[in-house]
Amino acid sequence: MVLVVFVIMLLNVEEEARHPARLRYLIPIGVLLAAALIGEAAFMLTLRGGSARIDPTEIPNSGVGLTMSIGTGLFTKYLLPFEVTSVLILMALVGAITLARRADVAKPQSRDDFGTDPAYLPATNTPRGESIIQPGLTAATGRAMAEYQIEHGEAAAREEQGEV
Amino acid sequence: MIPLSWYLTLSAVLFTLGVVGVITKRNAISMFMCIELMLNAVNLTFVSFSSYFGDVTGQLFVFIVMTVAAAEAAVGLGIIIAIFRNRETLDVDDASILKL
Repeated sequence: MVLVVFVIMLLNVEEEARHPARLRYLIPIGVLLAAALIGEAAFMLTLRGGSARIDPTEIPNSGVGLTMSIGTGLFTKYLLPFEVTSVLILMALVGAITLARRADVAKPQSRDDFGTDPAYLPATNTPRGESIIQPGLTAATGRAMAEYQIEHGEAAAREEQGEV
Repeated sequence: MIPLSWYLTLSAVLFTLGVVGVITKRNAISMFMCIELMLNAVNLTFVSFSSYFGDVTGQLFVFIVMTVAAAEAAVGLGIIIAIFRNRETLDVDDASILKL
């Protein structure tokens, strides 16, 4: 279930869209089948198993619920399913990694493959957060500052802005 | 003591909720969680009968079912991620062909 939560966060899922007409007719059928299944189970339980009770005191020394009995069963009588499960887990691991991997990760990439994605462009000389555009700047003063900066350089433009 | 039938009834209700969810839901993750619900309902039945009969086999099978459920969750969520990456949606009606 933790995996499910991770995937929900990873996928940025939006609210489920309701399809107006598609497969709507299946809902009453599903509810009907569910009612039938519940009724069947209730019928069987009241008919046959109504008096059955779980009482651990009736079965002393059975070893049910002990770690030792589970381990003994797992490594003796049910050793084959246990080992098959390990193979299954390995296959699931490899399959999940193969499926969830990006398709282009395996290919070798040269530096030119990044294209014009701004995240991969070489860093400019101006560090982030030190742009000369400040809040409260009007278009006119911005244009004037840009012209001033072209003439006198960026440091002088900063000084000029401080004086203004 | 709580009668065995209560456990079995709860298990049947959980399983039915899972079936209804798989039938009615169109979101892949919701369907996935409904499948998990069905598996856990079966686990509850296993444990109930194991305790009722005083036999440890049911608990062993719960172990194995949990492992299979974990493997299924890993592969299924990998498939969901791949589909979402290709189609930008989780609706299973949009993924009705095998080709990605």
